[in-house]
Amino acid sequence: MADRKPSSAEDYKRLRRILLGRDFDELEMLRARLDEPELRSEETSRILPRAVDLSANSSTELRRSMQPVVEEGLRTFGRRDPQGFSDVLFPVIGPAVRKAVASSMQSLIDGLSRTLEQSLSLRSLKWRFDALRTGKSYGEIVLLRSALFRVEQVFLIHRDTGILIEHRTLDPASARDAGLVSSMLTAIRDFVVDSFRVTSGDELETVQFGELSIWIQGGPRALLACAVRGSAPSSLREVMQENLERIHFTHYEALEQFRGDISRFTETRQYLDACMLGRADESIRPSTVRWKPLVAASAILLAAFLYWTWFDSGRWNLFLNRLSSEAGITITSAHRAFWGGQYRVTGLRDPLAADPNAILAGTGLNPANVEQRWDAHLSLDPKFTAERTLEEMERDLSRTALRFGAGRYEMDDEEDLEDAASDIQKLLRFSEKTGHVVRIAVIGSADPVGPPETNRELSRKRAEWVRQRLIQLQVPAAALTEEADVSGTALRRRVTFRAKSDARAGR
Amino acid sequence: MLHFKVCLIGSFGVGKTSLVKRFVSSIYDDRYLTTVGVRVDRRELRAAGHDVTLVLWDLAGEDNFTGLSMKHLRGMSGYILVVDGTRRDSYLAALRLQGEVAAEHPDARFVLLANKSDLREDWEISPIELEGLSGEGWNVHATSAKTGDGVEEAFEQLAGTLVEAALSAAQTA
Repeated sequence: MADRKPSSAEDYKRLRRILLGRDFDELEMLRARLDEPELRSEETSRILPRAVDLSANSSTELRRSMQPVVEEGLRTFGRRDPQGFSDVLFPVIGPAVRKAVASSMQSLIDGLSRTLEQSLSLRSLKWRFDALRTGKSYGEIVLLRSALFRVEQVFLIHRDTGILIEHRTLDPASARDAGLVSSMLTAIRDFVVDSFRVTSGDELETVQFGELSIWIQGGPRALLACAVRGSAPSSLREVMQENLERIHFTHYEALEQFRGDISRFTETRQYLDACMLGRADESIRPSTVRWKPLVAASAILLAAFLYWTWFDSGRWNLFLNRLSSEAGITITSAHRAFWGGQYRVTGLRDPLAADPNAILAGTGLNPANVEQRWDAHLSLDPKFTAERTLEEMERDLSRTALRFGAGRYEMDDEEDLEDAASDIQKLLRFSEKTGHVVRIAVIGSADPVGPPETNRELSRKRAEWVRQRLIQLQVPAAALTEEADVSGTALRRRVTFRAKSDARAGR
Repeated sequence: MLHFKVCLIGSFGVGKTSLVKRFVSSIYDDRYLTTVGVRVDRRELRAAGHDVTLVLWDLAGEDNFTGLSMKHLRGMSGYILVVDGTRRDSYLAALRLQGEVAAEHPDARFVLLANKSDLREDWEISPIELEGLSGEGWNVHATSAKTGDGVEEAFEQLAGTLVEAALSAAQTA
């Protein structure tokens, strides 16, 4: 039996070789390769890089299975050889640290230059002015004006139910989930209060996720929550508080009796909109002073004042120019007060010169604002000397009286008449030279004896007779008018003259 | 549009969350239940002639109400008691919870949902017991979160009750 076993094994082998032919040899060879660790390692090492490549590209499985091994390896390495580990990291850490330091230095420098700029620039002056005006600290104003933030959503939440009453958002796509957000927010508030056993009355006010934060302002019946991107100034809370108070004021009853009907709260939108603040929106100013209209009004007033002053000083100069160009007027001093529009002028004036008040009236200046003092003097201006001569001649003529006999209207002796005619002719010639037009009234008078009508007739006839005689003596008829003296005073039997020149008539 | 806060109350594992999933699509995942203890979902529907939004507060399953859970109930208009028909303990817990909740929120309307109606043969609650509750004025629905049977009807019925309650409250106010 013992002899037959190997032979039967051999037989079996032979039988398989016959049946499988060349495949048998290949099978034998494969078996040998599998049984040979050296050979397998050598073969695997040839395909491993390719296999890792393929696996890394097609799935994360290899990465996941390798991760703990690598991590553990790194940990072991770090523990066993700290020096070696830091040597390995050195080339990485150096640049990383340098980069971090450079970055923080840069932000420090930026901050410094911003501060410098803010403390020296025009804008900073404006902010300082704003701070003065609003009573806020300068720092607060700087924060308010320079902080980059934007309120993206505002939620008005019913306090007890957590139901969203009203919602405003910059992104309409977020509106759908707002109802859930408000409820979760309410739940989270309760969660925080219960989990951390906060003092009773304290509430969750802010939830921060990186640059996004939720600001919650609580009221007795409702909460206001703002989703804010960036760093908002603390005055945002004041704005929220203010608007939440308004909502409570206007909708208290509706909030108290809230049974799920949110349609009663559409008017609260204005208060929510008031919280939709951001850097671009200047309306966060807490000031109630509307300074723009104030500045505009001041500017208008100033412009009006300057214009008026300029305009008034134009009038003043016009007045002075006109006075100076007037003959017989000499200005000795002229003064204008800077404020109040008061003027003062002093000088010399010939009585025959033009009336300064008439000149003043023509300039548009208010006479009440102009103080004048004129000292009388005689001007040597030819115009005035001529006028004075004319006046003298007129006065002389008016002193002439032609006498008549009782009841007569003709003169027996005409010598006085001829003298008068000569004086009149001289006067007329002189006036013609000086450019005046003179009219001479021939005035007849009678004594009071007899009936007045007869006397009146006699007076008229006497004047008429003298006028005719004068015309005959070459006095131009146009210069003569006649009239009867019926005044009843100083009645004599005579004819007198009264000369009137247009120069005086115009004064 | 009327908005109502509705809480889901019931023992752990009775299928509250599955019921809500049948009824709504949520933006929050289940982790909220274990972290915050509540997850809020929303469903809009039409009931009693009104557009209604149910804000569903799915509370972490508990047999007893702690302070926090009680706080979550604040302001609710209604609630849904959920029991697992195959677990008698969940039924008893629901009866106890109902007593506690009704004491705190006497105005809140509720429905009882006997869940897992697809496994009726394994039920440990007898139909007679449920009929007894109906007789006391409870609104009882047999539902299956798995097949969806009865779920819509139960929510709609609760929504209708809430609308009526809100309208009558508004009239008396």
